[in-house]
Order: sequence, then C-alpha cells, then structure tokens
Amino acid sequence: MAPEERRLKRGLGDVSRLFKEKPIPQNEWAVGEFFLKCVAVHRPLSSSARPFILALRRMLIEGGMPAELVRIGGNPLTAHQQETRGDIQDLTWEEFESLNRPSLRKSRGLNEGKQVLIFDFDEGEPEHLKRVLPLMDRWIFAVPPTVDGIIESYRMMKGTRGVVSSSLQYCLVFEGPSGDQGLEEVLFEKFSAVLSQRLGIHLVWLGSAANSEDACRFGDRLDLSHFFLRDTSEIDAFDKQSLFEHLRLLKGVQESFLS
Amino acid sequence: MKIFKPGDEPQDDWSDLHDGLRQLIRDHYLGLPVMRGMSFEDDYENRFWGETSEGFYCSRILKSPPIYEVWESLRREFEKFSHLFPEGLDFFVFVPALDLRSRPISVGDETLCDFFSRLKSVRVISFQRVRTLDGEIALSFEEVLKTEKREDPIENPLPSFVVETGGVSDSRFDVSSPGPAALNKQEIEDFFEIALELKRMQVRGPLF
Repeated sequence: MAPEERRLKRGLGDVSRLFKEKPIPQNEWAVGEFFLKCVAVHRPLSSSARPFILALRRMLIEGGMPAELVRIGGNPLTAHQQETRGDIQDLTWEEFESLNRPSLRKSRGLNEGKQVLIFDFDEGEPEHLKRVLPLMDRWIFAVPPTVDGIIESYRMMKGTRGVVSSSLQYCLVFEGPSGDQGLEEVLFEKFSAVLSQRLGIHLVWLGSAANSEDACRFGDRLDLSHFFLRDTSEIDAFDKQSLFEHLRLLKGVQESFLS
Repeated sequence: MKIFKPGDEPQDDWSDLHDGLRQLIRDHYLGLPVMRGMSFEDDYENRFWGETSEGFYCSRILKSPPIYEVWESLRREFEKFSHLFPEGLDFFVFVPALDLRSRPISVGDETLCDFFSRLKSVRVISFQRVRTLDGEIALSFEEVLKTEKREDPIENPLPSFVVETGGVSDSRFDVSSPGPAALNKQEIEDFFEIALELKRMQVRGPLF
C-alpha cells in the first residue's frame, strides 16, 4: 500500500481536496439556531485533565468558537488555575442536578446560542459519570500513544456504554513525546478497528499533542474542525439548553460584579 | 492493597493473584516494570499476557488438575503465538493451582516445565502457589529454568514471599456503576496482537 493511501482521515482536509485550503468552517451556525456542544475529556493515565481542557478551550476560541470551561463539584485550584479563574464556570452538583429537573425543562423553550462547553469533573465517581455523560456530544480521550493508553480508553468506553448518549462522538488524541507518526497511525487504525468490531464505536482521531502541560506547544498537530460542524444527530436535550441559559446568566452576574 | 490474612476466605477473583504475581516478578526476580491489566479467566484457567521493558511474557494459572486437554490447550496456544516471536518468547511464567501442590505437572515422562524449557530462547519461571491450612496464601518461588540447561532445582533453596494483592477492580458492564470495565478473552487477544505489531515496528523501525 502506498504511503499516501495509508493517511488517516482526520478531518475534512483529508476527505477531499476541496477542503484543503478551506479554513476552519465558521458559518455552520445560523442566527436563531441553537448550537451547543458539550465536551468531556478523559485522561486515564494522567492525574488531571485540566491542562488539556484549558489548552483545548484556547484553541477553540482562537478558531472562532466560543468555549467555556464548566467545573462541576470543584476541586481545589492550583495557583496557575487561580490565575485563569475567570475562565471557569463553577457549578455544584446540586446546581447541575437542578438543571435537569423536569419542571425547569418545561419552563424553557428553544433559544439561540452557539458555544462549546467543556466539562471538568471527577470521573472517578460512577455517580458523576452517570450524571454528566448522557449530556455529552463529544468525549475526548487523551492518552499516550501506547497499548496501555488505548487499553485504558477501551475499558472506560466499554464500561460506560450503558449511560452515554447514542449520538456521542468519541475522539482520540495521542498525547506525549512519541514523535513517530507512523506508529501512532498504526496504533489508531488498529484501535479503531477493535472498537468498531467489539463495541460498535466509531472513533475520530483529532491528532497528536506533544505536551498538553505546556499550552503553548499544545495543538500543533490537532485538527478541531470536527467541533465546528453542526451534527444532525446532536443532542437537542432541554437539559443542555437549561444549562446554557444558567451559565449565560451566571456569567452575566460575574461580569456585572467585576465591573 | 489487600493482604491475605489467616482466616480470609479464598476468593474467586484471581486478579488479586495476578497483582501479587506481577509484584513478585517486579520486586523479587526480574526487577522490571510490568504492564498492567491484560488478564482474563475462563472455565479452568486464568492467564496473563504481559510486557516488561525486556519483552513479553505469559503467565498461566491452572485451576484444575493438569489433565491432558489443558496441557494440550496450553501447547496449542503457545504454538499459535510462537511465530510472533522469531527470537523466542522472553519468558514464560507458570503457576500451578492450589490443588496441584502434591501432584506432578506432567503428562507421561515430560513435565510442562520441561516442555517449555526445551523451546528455544524461552525462559520458564514456575511458581507453586500454596495455601496453608489456616488460609494464608503465599507464593513459593519453586524453580527457575532458563534457556540453558537448568540446574537441579532441589539443590537450590526456595525463597518464599507473602503476597500482597490488590489493584483496580474490574467492574463489569453495569449501568448503575459506570467506569472502566474488564476485558474479555477476545479483547485481550486483540490488544495483544496490537502490542506485538507495535513491538515489531519498533524493532524494524518506522514503516513510513
């Protein structure tokens, strides 16, 4: 097989030459439309997903997509995180739970909005997974390009099949100083095949991040165009709109307080 | 970490024993990091494919007497994978089950250890798992067989270790308690094949 035939289709640019010169699509959202993507990040072999989440948010904003970090049941922040405190929307689990109440859902109609919400929560608690995952549109697995990394990802995907939305899109980012793109591609292809065969999951490879601890170097090889597309299968839950409205209100209060 | 104590009930979850075995290999014999989490059980045996910085290994824990069919299944499986190791499997760990202590692991005149030790470049490490009458579980380092012809193991004293066991619980698919799930036999073999492919690539160098 020729090398060019082995290229992975990670984004539109790899699907067709028509998209080669096209920048990140920003006109997929029309005024009056509700466009909200909820994203969770899983880093099974790392202590915290926070550096990755912050870098992801920055990249999305630079690409023209409003993105918020939603922290649920917050843990103590580090000094660095304190500096970026203004970028974080905090919710207690009680607040998050209240947004899902049927009475609140009924009181709200369709609204317009455009945003990516990136969730930061303790995934070690089954209860948290059970509450948050059903609302997610994207779930990013950031793992080192090793067999251990994909096994841990697989185990989590397998063990949460019963709670995720049927339209959830699984994404993979290889994180670490591999530098061997050929190896990463083989690893992704084989992992993707196993996922498809055993769990019926279609996996999207977003690329590689050399080191997400260093936000400046993060994302050199990431393709986030996938996040800018409107999916017909996207979750149109009232839960999400309630959440969106709540966060918009919360942000308004914060800004008026600061001013 | 769980430590078996006198009076503890024997348990069906053998992952604890795997953890103990990995720790034993790492701490007391090989001094190598051991990859976690590739193990499964079926009706009569429990095996673990693992990887260290030096290479792959396979451990087997037999839960039933060494009937011919079990031995044959081991041999067939080894032969199935042996072509993937052109330089030979790095080492093979064999753990007889509790009730095998007083029985020879043999079919005819050949023991299982003999069989594997005859294979080229295979180091065979055999442990005997012992459960004492008061319920304490320990692993005894019975013998070490290397590629070269082994010394008489009886001449060598057998160090013993009390095994601390524990590790990540493998919650099965369960909506009420979502989280990492255990791998089944097919999935283990899928990932093992991937590991081998990567190892071959690293030996050969980049493909592209």
